[in-house]
Order: sequence, then C-alpha cells, then structure tokens
Amino acid sequence: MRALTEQLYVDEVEAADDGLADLLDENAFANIPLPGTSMRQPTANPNATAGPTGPSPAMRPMTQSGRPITGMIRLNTQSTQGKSVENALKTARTSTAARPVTTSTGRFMRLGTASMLSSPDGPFIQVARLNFQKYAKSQALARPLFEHLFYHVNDIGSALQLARLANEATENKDWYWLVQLGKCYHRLGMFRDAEKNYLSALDIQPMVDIYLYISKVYTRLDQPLLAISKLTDGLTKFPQEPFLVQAMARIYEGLNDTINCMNQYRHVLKLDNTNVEAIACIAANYFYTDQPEISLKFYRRLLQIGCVNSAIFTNIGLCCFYSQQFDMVIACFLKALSCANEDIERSDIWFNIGEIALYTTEVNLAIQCFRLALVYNNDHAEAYNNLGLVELQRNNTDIGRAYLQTAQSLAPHMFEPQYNYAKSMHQQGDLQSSFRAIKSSLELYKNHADSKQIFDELTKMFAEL
Amino acid sequence: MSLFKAREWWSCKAGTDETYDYGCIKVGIFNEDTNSKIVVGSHSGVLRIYNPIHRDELSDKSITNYASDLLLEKSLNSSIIQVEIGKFVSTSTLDHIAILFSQKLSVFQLTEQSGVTEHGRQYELELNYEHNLNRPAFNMCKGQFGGGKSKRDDAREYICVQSVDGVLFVFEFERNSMVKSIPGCYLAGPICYLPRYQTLAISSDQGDKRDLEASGTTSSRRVLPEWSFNIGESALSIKISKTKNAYSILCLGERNLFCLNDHGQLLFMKKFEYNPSTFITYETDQNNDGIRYIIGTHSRTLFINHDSNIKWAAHVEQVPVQLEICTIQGIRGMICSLSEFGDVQCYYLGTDPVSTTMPLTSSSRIDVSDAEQGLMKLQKEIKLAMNDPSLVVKRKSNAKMTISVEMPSEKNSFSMADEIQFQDSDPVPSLTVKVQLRSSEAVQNVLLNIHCHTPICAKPNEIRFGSMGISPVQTEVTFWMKDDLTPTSLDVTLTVTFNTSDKLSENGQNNLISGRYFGTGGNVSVMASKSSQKYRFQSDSLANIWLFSQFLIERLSSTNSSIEFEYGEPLPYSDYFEIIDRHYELRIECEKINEMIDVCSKQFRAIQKRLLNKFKDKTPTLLDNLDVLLENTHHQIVALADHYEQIHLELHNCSHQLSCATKLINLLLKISVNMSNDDERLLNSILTPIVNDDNEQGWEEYVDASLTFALRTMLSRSSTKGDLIPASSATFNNSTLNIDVTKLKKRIQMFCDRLEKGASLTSNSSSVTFEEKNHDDHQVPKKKNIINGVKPVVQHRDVPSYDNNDQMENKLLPMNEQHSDYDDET
Repeated sequence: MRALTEQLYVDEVEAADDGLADLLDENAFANIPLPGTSMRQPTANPNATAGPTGPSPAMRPMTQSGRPITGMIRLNTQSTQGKSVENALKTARTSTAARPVTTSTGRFMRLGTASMLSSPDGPFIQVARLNFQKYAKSQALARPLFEHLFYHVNDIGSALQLARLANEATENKDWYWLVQLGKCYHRLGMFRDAEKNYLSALDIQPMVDIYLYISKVYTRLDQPLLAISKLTDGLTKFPQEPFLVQAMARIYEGLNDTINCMNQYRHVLKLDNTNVEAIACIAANYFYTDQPEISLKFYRRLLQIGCVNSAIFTNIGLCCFYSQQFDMVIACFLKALSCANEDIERSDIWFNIGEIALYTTEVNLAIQCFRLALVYNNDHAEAYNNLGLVELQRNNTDIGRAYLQTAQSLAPHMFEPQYNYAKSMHQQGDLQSSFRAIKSSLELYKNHADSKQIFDELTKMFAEL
Repeated sequence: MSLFKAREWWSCKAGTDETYDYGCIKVGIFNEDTNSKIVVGSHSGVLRIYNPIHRDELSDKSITNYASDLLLEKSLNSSIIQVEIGKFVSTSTLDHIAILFSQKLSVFQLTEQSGVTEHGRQYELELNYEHNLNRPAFNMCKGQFGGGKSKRDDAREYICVQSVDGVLFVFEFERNSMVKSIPGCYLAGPICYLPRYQTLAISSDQGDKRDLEASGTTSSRRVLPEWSFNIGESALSIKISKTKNAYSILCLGERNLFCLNDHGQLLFMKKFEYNPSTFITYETDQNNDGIRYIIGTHSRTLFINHDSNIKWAAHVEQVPVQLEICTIQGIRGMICSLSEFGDVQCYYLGTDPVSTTMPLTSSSRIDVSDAEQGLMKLQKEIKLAMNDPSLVVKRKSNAKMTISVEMPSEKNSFSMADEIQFQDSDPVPSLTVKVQLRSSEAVQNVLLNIHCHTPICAKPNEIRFGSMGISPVQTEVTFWMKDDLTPTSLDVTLTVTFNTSDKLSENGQNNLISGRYFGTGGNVSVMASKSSQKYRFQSDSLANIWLFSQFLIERLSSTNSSIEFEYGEPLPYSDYFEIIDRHYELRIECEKINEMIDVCSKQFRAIQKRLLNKFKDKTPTLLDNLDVLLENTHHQIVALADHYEQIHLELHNCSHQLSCATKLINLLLKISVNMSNDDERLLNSILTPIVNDDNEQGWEEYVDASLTFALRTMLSRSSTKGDLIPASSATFNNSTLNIDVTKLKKRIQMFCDRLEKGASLTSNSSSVTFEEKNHDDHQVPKKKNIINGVKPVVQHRDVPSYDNNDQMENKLLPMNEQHSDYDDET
C-alpha cells in the first residue's frame, strides 16, 4: 500500500495549480487591494506610480499571465492568475501555455484516475467498503491508509472522513492528523478550516512542512504578507531551512518584488548551494538586468552540477552573445538543438537564434529562423512580432501588419506587438488604428516612453481636428 | 545535483545476481591486522570478507576483482538479513561477526591460519554459538544492555533482535535473557541502542518514533515508551550521534531528517528535495561539536552534512543502500558503500568534476569552402522556394482555372442522399454531377468549394486537390435535398481557391423541377391558356411559384430570344404580407422565449449561489426547499429551450418562404415594368431576398431601412430627388419589437407602386417612364411577359411555344381554384 502511495506521491507543498473555477470564489478579502499586498495584480509594478523596482517589461518578457518570466518552470507559474474571471477567460488559447486551467480538483482527479488505470485488477482497496471507524482507532493502520486514500485513490472525501475520525480518536493532540485534516480542507477549497487546523498543529509541534502549508493557504487567500510573516516565524524555529526561504522568494517573485526575491534566493544558496531553482532564478535576474556575464557564471554552474537540458544551453548561448563571447554562441545553440526533445523547446531555440541573427543584421537568416520557430510552435507570438517587424522593414507592409496582428491576438499580454503595430500604422497614416493600438499598449505598460510619445502626438493631432 | 564526483579508491562486485539491502555490509577489524575488513552478506546467503588494498593507477583498470582481496567466501545456506560486528563472546575481547538469518542468529569468529607465504594465509569462519528464533527476524542492534556496571562490562556487547511483528529478543551471549513484544506494533521498524539510558530507539510502523525502555534483565512489566515523538512519516533509519556531552538521535524519514536530543525534543529538522536511500552518522576526532552525517540518495548523490547544513555533495556511481565510514590502510574517513546489486566501493571526496553526458554534436571538421558552397546552394534553393509562384502568395497571377460541369442525363438510379432531416417514404432523389477542373499552369492548394442554398445540399461540399498540374482533375459531386423547405434557388456556386489567391467561380446549373415540391408537398401547376397566350400558375402558397415562374421565363427566353413577358395583375400583396406577418411574429416569439430563458437562468444561478452558500456554511441549515426550486427552474429552462428550438425551426422555414416570395415579387415587378438589369440589381438589394435570422438585425429592419431610404431619395416625388438624403428617420433600431410592420407593409406597397408607375432606381431622373416598355438596348431582346401569382395568370403573347411545358418534368395537378381573370390584352 505504501509502495503504491509512493508511486504517486507529489509533495503537497509544490503541487497546487490554481484553477479557473477557483477565481470564482470570494475568499480574497479585497477586490481592490492596496498595492503590494496582493498577488492578483499581474502587472502591479510597471504600472505603479512609485516607479518600478525591478526591470521593466521592456527588458524582461512576461509569461502569459502577465508576470515577469522566472528562472524556472513551476506548476504555478503557468497558471492564469488573472485579476478576474474575465481576464482569465480572455487569455489567448494557445496550444500549450495558459490553458484556461480547469478547477484544481479536476486536475487532481485526473491524477487519480491515471493511477487506477495502471492497476489491471481494479483498485487495490475498495474504498467504499472500508469501515473507517474501525481503522481510525488503530494508528498503525490509519496513517498508511490515509496516505493511500489521499495520494493514490485520490478520494479526498473519504480521506477527510478517516482523518476526522482519527483526530477524534487522538483527541486533537496529534499534529499529524491535524495537518492531514488541513490538507484535506485545502484540497477541498475550504481554506479557513485548513488554516485553523494548520495553526493548531503548529501549536502542538512546529514542523517545516506545516509552515509551508500555511503559507500556501495564505497565498491562496491572497494574503502574501501574512504568508511571509508565517514563513519568517518558521525561520526563527528552523533557521537553516532552505525550503522556507525559497517559499518566501517565490512569494516575493509573485509580488514582483525583485530585490527581496533575489535576496531570498541568495539566502537559499547560502544554505544549500546546489539549489537549482535559486541558481536559475538569480541567473535569469542578472540576465534581464543587463549583466549577462554574471548570469553566464550561474548558468555554467548549473551545467556543471549536472543540469543538462536545452534551456540551459540556450541561456548560455544568449548570455555569451550578450557578453560578446561570440565564439561560444553557435556551439551552445547547436548543443541546445540536439538536446531539445519537445517542439516547444525547439521553437524557442530557433526564436532565440533568429533574435541573434537580427542583431547581426542577417535578416534572411532571421526570417528563416523565425519561420522555423513558427513551424515548431504555431502560437509563438514573439516570433510573429519579430517577423512582422522584419517584413515592415522590407516594406512588405501588408504581410508585416498581418504578422503583427497575429501576434496581438496570440499574446494579449504583450505590449510590443501593439506598439509596433501602432507605430507602423502611424507611419502609414492610418491614425485611427494607430491610436487604438497605442492605447492598448499603454494599458499593458503604462510607463512606456515611446508609446507615450506617439500617444501624445496623436491626441494632439486629433485635438486639432 | 553535485559539482564533484566521489573518487573511487577501491571497488569490487560481490557475487552476480545477488541482492543486498540495508544491513548487509559492515567494516571491522578482527585481529592484529589493523587493516579494516569489509564483511558483506547477501540475501542468497553468501558471506564475503574483503581486505581492500589500493592498486596503483598503473595497474590494469579493467580488472576490478582481485582474488587476493577476497579473504573468505562462504555460503551459509540461508539468506543473510543483517551483519553486525562486535564483542559478542564473553571470553574474548576480539570482535566477532553476528549474522542474522531469517530464523536464526549466529555468531562466528574469524580465524586466520598463517601459512608459509603470504598466499598461504587461510581464513576460516568458526561458529561460536547460535540461537534459533521462533519468529521471522527483521533486524537487530547491539548494545550494552543493562549498562556498563563493571569494567568487564565495557567490553561486552549484547544483541537485540527484532522480529517482523515487533517482538524484541535480547541475547546476552549464549543466553536469551528477555523476550518482549512492543504493544500496538504491526510491522517492525528500524531500531537503535541509546547508551545513556540503556534504551532502544524504535521507529514503529505508524511513523512515529518511540523510545522504549528495555532494562536488560530485571524488567518484568510490559514495554512502555519512555517518550515518543511523532515524525509523521515512516522512518528509514535511526542512528545515534555522540556530540561533546550528549547523545542525539537522528532519524531519517522518507522526506525529512529529524534530529532529537535524548529527551525526545526536536533539535532540528531538514526537509529533502530528493529521495534519501540511506544515511550514516560519524564522529571526527577533533572539533567534535556538531552532528555529522552523510545521506545517500536515490539520485546517486552523497550529501555530507554538518548539523543541518550541507557541506559537500558528491556524485557516486551507484545508489547506495548502506554506507559505512571506516579507516582503511591508515586512511581515515573512507566512505564504503554497498549497492543493491552488490557493488562494494570505497570512496574519498575529490574534486573530479562530474562527467555529465554532453549531447553529441557532429564535431567533424568542416571544410569552409565546401560549406560555403553548400550554403550558397541552399540559400539559392530557399530563395527560389520563397519566390516560387506556386508556393508563395503572388499578386499578379495569370493562372486560369476553368471549371466544367457535366450534367448527367438523368438522376441517380440509387439515392445517394444522406442525413435527410424529414420523413418521407420515397427515397430522396439525388443527382451526381461530374466536375472538371482545368488549369493553365500548375497551382497548389487547390480547394473546390461547393455552395448551394439550404434545402439542397452537396456532398462532398469541399474537395481538396493539393497540387494540380495542367492535366485536368475530375471529381463527382452529388446533390440532393436535405430539408423539407421550399428551395429558394437551384444555383450552385463552385468556387475554386488556389494559391494565387485569385478566386474564379463559375456557376453550374442543374435543375430538377417537378410539379410538387419534394418534402413540403407544395403543389404548383402551370397552365397555358389555349385561347390566349397566357400562362397561369396555381399553388397553395406564394412561395412555391417562384421557381417555376423563374424557370419558365428562362426556358422560354432561351428557346426564343424575341419573347416578351408581361404581367398585368396587381402584385399579390396580401399573400406576401401574410408571410411577412408570420415571419415577424415568429421572430418576436423567439425573442420572447430568449428573454424568458434569460430570466430563468438568472434565477437558476441565484439559487445555485444560495445553495452553495448554504453548503459552505459551517452550521448546516435547512435548505428551505431551494433544491426543489432549483430542479423546477432547470425543468423550466429545458422546456423553454425545447420550445425555442421548435419555434426556431418554424422561423427558419418561414424565412425560406419569405425569401422565395420576395424573389417572386421582385421578378413580377421586373417583368411588369420591364426593368433594366441595373435597376433589377438595385431592387434586389433594396427588397432583398436574403433573409437572415441569425443577426440581431432581421430582414424587416433591413428592408424597412432601405425602403425608407429609397423612397426618400430615388423615388422621392419632391424636387430634391437627385440628392442623397441621409435616411435619418429610418429606424435603425436593433430591437425587433421596435419595427412597425404595418408601416413596413405600407412602405413596400408604396415602393412597388412607384416602381410600377415607372420610377427608375438607377437614373436620377425619376420621370415616369410609364410607356417605355421596350428595348433595353444592351440586353437580349426579350419582350412579352409572364404574369403569375397565387391567383394569377400568365400571358404569353408572341410565340405560342406550348411544347415548352413538356420540358418540365412535372406532375401537373388539377387546379384548385379556377380564376377567370385572364388578362385579355391580346
């Protein structure tokens, strides 16, 4: 039974994909939160009046949900953490990212059914026939049974029932059962109950996991600051625990607080200098803050400790290029291409090669690369954007415009295609479309100076009419 | 994830096809020879003792197993669970080997018989004593149970064996001193001896670690835990670490490592991001102020930790199941590991980088000139491909596509009809037409679309040819009727698209006319008057007449180009307006139902929300019959939707009728005033026969607006007729309900009247061109008229070509109502 459970064990701390349906619930306190206290403002920072603390979106690309790209793919970074349901629904439906995540329960359900399929003789335990009352009394049986129900069978209802009975049997004294109750409630979306259970478990026995769980709950309730304070509590108890620091770093990242985030990741590295996530995130940050040489060092370190994949090679190639070590660039990209297993990766690599070709003014090569990127991933908005620009430059206005429009429709979170479109329209004299595009560009990125300039020009012109 | 590799100092493979687990390796010194020996016992029951000796780098690397390293290999005929080394014999201070079999515990002594030369040395295993166990054994530990009471006691070590079901046997040398069972234990877990309190640390199967007092000799009571600590997961291993003044207990769980002091308080814990396989604690001689331990993982990494910090990570070749720290050949701190399949290795920590397998890229040297040539060639090809007319969008194309349609002489003998949406006993007749495409040059991505008007359908309606050369391509398309609606048109549009983005379309005509419409059963009869040159159409519905009249005109004029048509009757307004009324009513009804569905679904959502709140509430409250309400609302919505579907179908039907009728009206208007083709086109766009119900703006609104405009501008009687007056007052409201149908009808009538009086739509001079019924100079001269209607008459003046009637394959039915109002213009 334990072996079956272990097969499907997912660390609950890592696994939580916010579902679309979760956005419908009213657990968050304020609909219009104060700046810096909520994760639900995707582009909080560039639009903040206080001025951006991190790199601007002009420097750092965004994920589809409008969050600056991070150094590492996690379960949560892919999900649509839009402000509202409308936004979530509006996100472009491309083949891969930003799948309008169905509810979390649906996702877990799939995990569960997958495990069922793998056992040909039907389920290992007939859950419906269990007498939970009996098993709850025996601690030795209840725990493995619970874990089996929770992870393998994925029957949260039954698991909750068992946990509740076992908790009664242990008279609320056993932190283990309190945590399990909390986990069940968490899965079922009853965050307040989960919080209560976690808190009482913490009273009995502080554990690293419990701190992580409770910070997770607070994040879900959209109270990142409370989550951070809980994690800080945890750090006073377990000062050497990289997981707690890492969780804090992720929250700061969610808040677009890059400075704090980087500090936390550095702290993680001090505690555990083989932490891949921390290295990758710091490297990405250096890269986007114009220090590719330093970033290169971090990526090299990743390669040395055995992370060999196409993404690393691509990143190293890019860092080399930007730090003017041209001899390595081609070799890195060749390696990356031979490492890549998925079409998405290949399309990204080709896009980056195309980017480099653009910088070296190899327009033809660039076009070929972007086209290859589109062959592998037909939804590559950035490639469409760049192709559009190149075509515009070659005076193929119609084609260029079509590419830009495709990019706009594929990536409503990017301001670049909007701005480019506006500019080209402006040059061609189609002021109305230009105005429309520039407005949406400014909506996405308020402080973009070039957009502003065109906008001002246009408003002046319209006023004169 | 590690930067460096652990360097291998010595290795060998113990046995083939033998398996090992935790407990199967021990390192110890048995006699004066200070070199440590490695004792390995396999599950197959073979005990091996190695004496590791480092070979020079120069010696042959391929040989890993040296015969002289293996001191002893002996099969003990029963699988070995655990090996322990200690002072287990009361009479000796030397270390002995205790071996735990599944039903037996044996203690052996290793003896050496020195020979004349080095090779002559012989090792032998002598059985000292053994205990038979009545339960299957799980593991064992050694310790000074009962405490070190005297000096002599320091040297002795007892053995505690745990059975699979949690019974402890303590053996003091040859004597079994105690048997105790652990309460509430189903499956045994790792155990360990705590010297300070003479207690055993035992992890029970339920995942919490308990400390059990096991006072060696005197205890007669049940075994009770001294303290217990709940770690919430199952423990893999327990070890003791002795720091300066205290012992601490380290417990390796599946996902965390816990460090407790010997009172059961948590000192620290450490969460893993990897799967641990085993661990070991060790002490260093100097600076002994922290807990040091090494964790082996399933990701083949050794983590060397001090307290809760990782100090070093080293990559190893195999997943270790057990680690040992030993001093071999005077080298301290050698790490000895055993893998599941018997790879015994001794490591030390070095700074060899991990040789990760880099992806291979073709590293053959490139000849620059060759490559350049190849590149040029490729680029030329790419350029060609990009400019290839057949590949890329080309603005000026002179490719000509010809579509020729070959009509079969008769309909299919077997009906090919499919997906018919009405019931009829007869098979639906179908017609297969051969379509041939011919292109003047090679084109690509040729797509043939066949579009026909709703009740008629074609299969396949989309044919993709891929690429096409100069040779023609032929395909077959079948037509049949799908719905029981009155066909508005028998036109079929064949559109060919290919990669030049030009569209060429040609219309193929095919026809099938009978006196009775298939499906609807609408009857039409055409009667030719014997005395006068008139045709007379009779039908029970205005819409039915359209096709027949259209074809009659077409055929008559094709046989005789000088034929002239006339229509002298007043337009059949009343029938036409009936259809309009009906159409309008249905539309309003649709909208009403839509609104009701809207209200109902709002109610449904509201109930859902309240129910959800009730269920989420901590204190369960009554449902207040909300569930019943929810169900009822749901039923209501479903019923409404069904009704809507029905109405919509009717509306669809009615739209067709309206479309037919409008076409007929237009036709009549045209022939009654001899309209020019331009006028006809305008007329068709003003009083449009295209009825679209899917938009917000329906036919009525559209026609109303365009009529108003037409009446105000081109047909205006005022002097400003030429100017374009914006149709400001026209109701452009989108709402269906805002249209006044009676006004619309009036407008239609007025419009038709004015046209009949000769107003022209095209020319700005709207002088009454009343008399001017001849000679559209740029047209095929066709004069004479047909007049028709529900109670209508067709006049046929010039050429009495009655035989034309025969061309219509029809079932002429007896006239329902006879009308005598023949227009006697002749």
